[in-house]
Amino acid sequence: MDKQNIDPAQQLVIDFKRQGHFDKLKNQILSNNIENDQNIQDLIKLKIIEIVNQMVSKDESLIFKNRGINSALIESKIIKDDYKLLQNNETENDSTKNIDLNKFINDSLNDSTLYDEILQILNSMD
Amino acid sequence: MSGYHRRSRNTPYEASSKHSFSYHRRQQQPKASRYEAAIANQNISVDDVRPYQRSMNYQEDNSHNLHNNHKSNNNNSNTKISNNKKNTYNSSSYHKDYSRPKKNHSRYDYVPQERHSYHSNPEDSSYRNEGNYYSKTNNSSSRDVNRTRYDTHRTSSNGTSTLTNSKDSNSSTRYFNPPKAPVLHSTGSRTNNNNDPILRRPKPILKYNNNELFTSKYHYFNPLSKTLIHKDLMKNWHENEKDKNIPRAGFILTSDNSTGKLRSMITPRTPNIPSKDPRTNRIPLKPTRPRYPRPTLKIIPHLPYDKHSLGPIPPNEIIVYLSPDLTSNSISENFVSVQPLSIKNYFKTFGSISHFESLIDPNNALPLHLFLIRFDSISDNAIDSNNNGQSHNQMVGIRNAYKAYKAYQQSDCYILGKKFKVELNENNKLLEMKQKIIEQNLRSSQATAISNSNKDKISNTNSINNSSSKDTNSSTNNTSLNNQSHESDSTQWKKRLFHEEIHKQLNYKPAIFVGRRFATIHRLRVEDFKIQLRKYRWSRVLDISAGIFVTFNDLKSAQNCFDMEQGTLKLLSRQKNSYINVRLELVEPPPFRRLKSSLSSTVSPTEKSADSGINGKPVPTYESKDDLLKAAVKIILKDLSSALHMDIRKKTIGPAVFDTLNPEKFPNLLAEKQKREIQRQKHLREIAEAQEKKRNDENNSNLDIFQLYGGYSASNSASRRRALKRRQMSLSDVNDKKRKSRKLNNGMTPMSHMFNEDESTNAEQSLAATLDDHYKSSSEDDLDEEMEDDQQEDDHSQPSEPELYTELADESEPSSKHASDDSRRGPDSELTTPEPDSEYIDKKKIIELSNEKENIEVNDKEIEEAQSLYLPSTTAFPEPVYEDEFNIFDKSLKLNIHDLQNAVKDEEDLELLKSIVGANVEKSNPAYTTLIEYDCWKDRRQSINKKASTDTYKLLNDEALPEYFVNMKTPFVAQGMKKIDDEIKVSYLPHRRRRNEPLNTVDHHSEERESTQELLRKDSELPDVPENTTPDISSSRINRAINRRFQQDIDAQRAAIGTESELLSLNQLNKRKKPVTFARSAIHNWGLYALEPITAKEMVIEYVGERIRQPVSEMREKRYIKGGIGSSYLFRIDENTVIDATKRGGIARFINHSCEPSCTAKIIKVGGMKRIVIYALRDIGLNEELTYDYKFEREIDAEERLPCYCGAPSCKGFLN
Repeated sequence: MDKQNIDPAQQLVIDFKRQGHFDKLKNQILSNNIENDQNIQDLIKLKIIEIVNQMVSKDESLIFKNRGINSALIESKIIKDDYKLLQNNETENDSTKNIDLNKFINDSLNDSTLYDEILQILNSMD
Repeated sequence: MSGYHRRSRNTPYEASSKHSFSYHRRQQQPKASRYEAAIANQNISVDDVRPYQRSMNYQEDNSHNLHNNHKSNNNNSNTKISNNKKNTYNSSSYHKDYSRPKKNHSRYDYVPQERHSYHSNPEDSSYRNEGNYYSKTNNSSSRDVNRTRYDTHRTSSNGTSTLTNSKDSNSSTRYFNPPKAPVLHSTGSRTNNNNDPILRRPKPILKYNNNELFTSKYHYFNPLSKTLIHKDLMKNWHENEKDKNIPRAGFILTSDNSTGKLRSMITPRTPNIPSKDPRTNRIPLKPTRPRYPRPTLKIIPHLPYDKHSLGPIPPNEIIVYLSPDLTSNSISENFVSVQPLSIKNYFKTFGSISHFESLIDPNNALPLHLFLIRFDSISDNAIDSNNNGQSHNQMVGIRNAYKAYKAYQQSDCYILGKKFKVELNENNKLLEMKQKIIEQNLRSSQATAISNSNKDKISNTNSINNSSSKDTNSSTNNTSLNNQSHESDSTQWKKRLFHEEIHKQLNYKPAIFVGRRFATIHRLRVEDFKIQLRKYRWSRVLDISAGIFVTFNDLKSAQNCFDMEQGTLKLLSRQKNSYINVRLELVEPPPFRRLKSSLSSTVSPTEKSADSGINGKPVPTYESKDDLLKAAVKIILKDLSSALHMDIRKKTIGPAVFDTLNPEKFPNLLAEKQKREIQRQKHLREIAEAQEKKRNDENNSNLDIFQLYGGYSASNSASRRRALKRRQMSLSDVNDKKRKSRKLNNGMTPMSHMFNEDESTNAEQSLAATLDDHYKSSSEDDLDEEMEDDQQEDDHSQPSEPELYTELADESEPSSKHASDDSRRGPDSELTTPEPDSEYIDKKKIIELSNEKENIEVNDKEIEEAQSLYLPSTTAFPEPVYEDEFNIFDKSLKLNIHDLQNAVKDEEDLELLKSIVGANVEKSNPAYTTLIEYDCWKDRRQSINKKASTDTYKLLNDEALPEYFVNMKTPFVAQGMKKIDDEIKVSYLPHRRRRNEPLNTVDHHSEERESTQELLRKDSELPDVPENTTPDISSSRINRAINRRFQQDIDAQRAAIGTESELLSLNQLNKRKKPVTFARSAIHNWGLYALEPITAKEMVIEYVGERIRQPVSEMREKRYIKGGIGSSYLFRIDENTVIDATKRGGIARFINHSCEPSCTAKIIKVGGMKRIVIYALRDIGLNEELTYDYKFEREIDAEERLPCYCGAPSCKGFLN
């Protein structure tokens, strides 16, 4: 391992992470309240509940048999295609809105405030 | 030999010394003439002389010739002869004859001159006296030689005298037919002897010259006179022969097979015809097939060198060297040294090595990869002189070396992946090889030195080029570089600098380049490069418009490959169909990219050129802090996004899904499922109960032993309720279920709990309780009855009447209600006797009670039925309303109060009874009254119990209790301790019964469990009746066949496994075993019972136990008796083997003995082993005890005899 050959930017990033700013930022994003005092996680949860309920109503055996496997399968199904299922709006249920997770993440990341924040931290680090 | 007379020297034969003849012939020479004279004198023709028949004719000729010769040579003496014979002789023929020997002659030739000289020699009178001649001639008389001699002499006379002069007769030959010495051509030594008079044979002398002797009968030849005596007595054989068929010339006997029979034929001799060599006449051999030439030499086995071998000693050393094959040992790999030790070990397999040497290059001390191995066994055996000076060990070494050499002649020797060649070290080959390799190495080292120097030059120029390119920073670098390249050495390759895009395609990696035109012309492909450069660490081979690029991850490896392959790389040109040298160029990655910002001097050139990134990528450098920060932020954002994604997936989505799938979240679904489960279970239960009910119905006929002793009694309330004639209600499934759901003892309470019935909360039971109380006082009841009857008689329309009816109705109602109670008791219903009378007794109370309750509901039906009893019937004679149960007038009948009570059916009867008995209410003694009540009750109780027990007993035994028990005055307990005999025990103990129909003592334990298991199982899918999976095998033969096949499968599997595993040992006989079980036996202690009916002649079970020898069994028997085991479980197979099931064995040991057995034991062979098998003699019923005849030997000693309890009619009484 060549210590001298690491990209200095990379090195900076490593230091940044070591100091914990990275995780902090991450949690910040995640816990941003998007609407009605619900952060993205809650929204996702609701949506998922809805989806799974739909599935179970179609096939009851999901509940009783092979819970672990079934949950893994459902999970992968949700993640597929950039969280397509989260975007669908099959039910009339208004409580859960469509979630475009990708978009959300990208937006949050491209947020300029975030950018400035990071820069700030970096500057302070040096 | 009397003497040796020398003859004169002037013998005529000496003159003719050219003729060779034997010494004795010389001596005889004069005799020849004498013979002739004798012959001539006697006028004996040739033909007359018998014994010499054979060659007679010939001799004639010869003699003629001889005489001719003789004559011609000798002038003086032979005139007479010659005169006589001249005409007959043919000189030409004579000469001719003597040119070479005649075929049917012996090898001796005739010397006519000699003959003549013989004849002409008169001097030799002394020959007459020489006995040698005689002896000699006699000795050889059998031979042809002598015969011929004689013949010649004899035949010299053809009627004419052949002798020269009579006076010479003595000297020349005194014999009648002087033998003519044959001439020997062959030996030269004899010729000398013949010439030498000293060495001539002395003349024969007759010692015993008695005429008597010689004139004796059988002496034919007179050696002195040399005549045949008795000639006149002798006749010609063919003259005297009666059979004229005999040919004159003589005959031979041949075996003739012409007529089919072997007979001897007379074949005449034909002396004239020269005979042929029969050997030439033989059938020529079959022409042998031509032997085809062999294409190869026949391989003869290697002859080992041993003491008999000649030549130099074969080598016992081998040379092992790296094969110069390029394909296997590439040059680059040679640098990896082969451990000499491994080679040594490798060759140790051929024999013990005494010397191992790894040769090194003296110039540079590098290993030559040349090894010398000498095979010898390392020991100090003295040199064995027998083996050509070689020791045995050396011979072994020679052999081993040859073996090693030969082994690798056919196949290649690979050690540690390297190919080696093995050769024998003959004629010091090793030294040659060594020299050769050393030279080779030298050369190669020189070559590398040259190339290294070249390389240095190249690298120098490269660096120059590099630095120059870095200085210029325009896109038109090519031209400048080209200019520079011109400046460089002409031997250098052009250093091309490619367009930026190309470098991009190369991912900014160093590469080796092959020109586009070149590649297309020769149609070089990527695969070709891949194959040829497979040993180098290239990363990709690209085929792009500029050419073919072989990219490397780092410059070093690129350079290495370039150096190695440059000039040597050959690829197959598809255009030329031959290998061509491919010109390579090294492409170095361009100078590192810079960031967007403009040139700044802060960037140090050293950073650029020297560094290569972790992955070979250039390390980016930043000009300003901003840039750095920006880059950092970018990275951070990227990481953030990935982290967010990950987080959400793992921490949000995953758990959410899992939690949602919790069944509790869907209560309605859960409820539905549970409902379904319940239904299923219910169904299962129903089925199980149905099954059990079926089973119980089967068992109903049998007595339940557990009820026998009245351990549990039905609560009297229930029994009373059953008191109705119309109790024959069918048992329903519902009742079964209800029954099942009740307590374990099926609603029956133990006897001791009878008094608890007051406490029952059940309305029915409370009713019963009160009834019970009243039941105790029977007298009251009687009174009541009376009163009731009176009431009844008096007034039907009394208020009691409707009450009565209601009673009845009520009575019937509860009875109908409690029909279920009846069912509870089931088989016990017979135990307790019906008490129709109790109805009446209870009526009153019921009325009272019923007033409390609201059981006024009258069942119209019941009323009608009751009334129907009293309806008048139209018969001729009045018939009693109730039938008589017993004949009162029967005196033998022992009535008890119970019976009397039963007899009283209505008030009328009661009146009558009263009148009989004379029951005066007034006269009743109060003290007595109480006792009476008690007595009645007690009596009643006893009667009930007794009846019950006798009924049970009857059911069991079909006969009443033995007298012993019936007439017992004192109770058992008071009788004191005494042993009860077995016969008596049999009568009351169920398991000691002698009957063939055993009790159902067998617990069908397993079957019950199955059904309960079904109920308990939750996850079962289908509530179907548990099926009997084993197919019904109707034929035991088929069953046996199936089992045999199974056994074969097991054996095959065991064979496949290979080991003698006990796990797979299968006792075939187990399959034929019938379902049997052991239980207490009436015969003795335990016995074996059949769980299913067994047909006759079927195998039941095998008697399994320890297989022991006869003496062991004897010892064990004694030991068991000593140890207290009274029963014998030893079963004899044959006189040597016994099966002992005392301590270890199968359940067949429980089969008891019977004098009338149901089974028999046979000994069959299964798998080669004898086994004891029990067969059924007759059909055996369900639950029947199996028995067979033990066939014990009859014991004389009375004490040894064991009593038999089999209970058979023809029981012998004893086991032995």
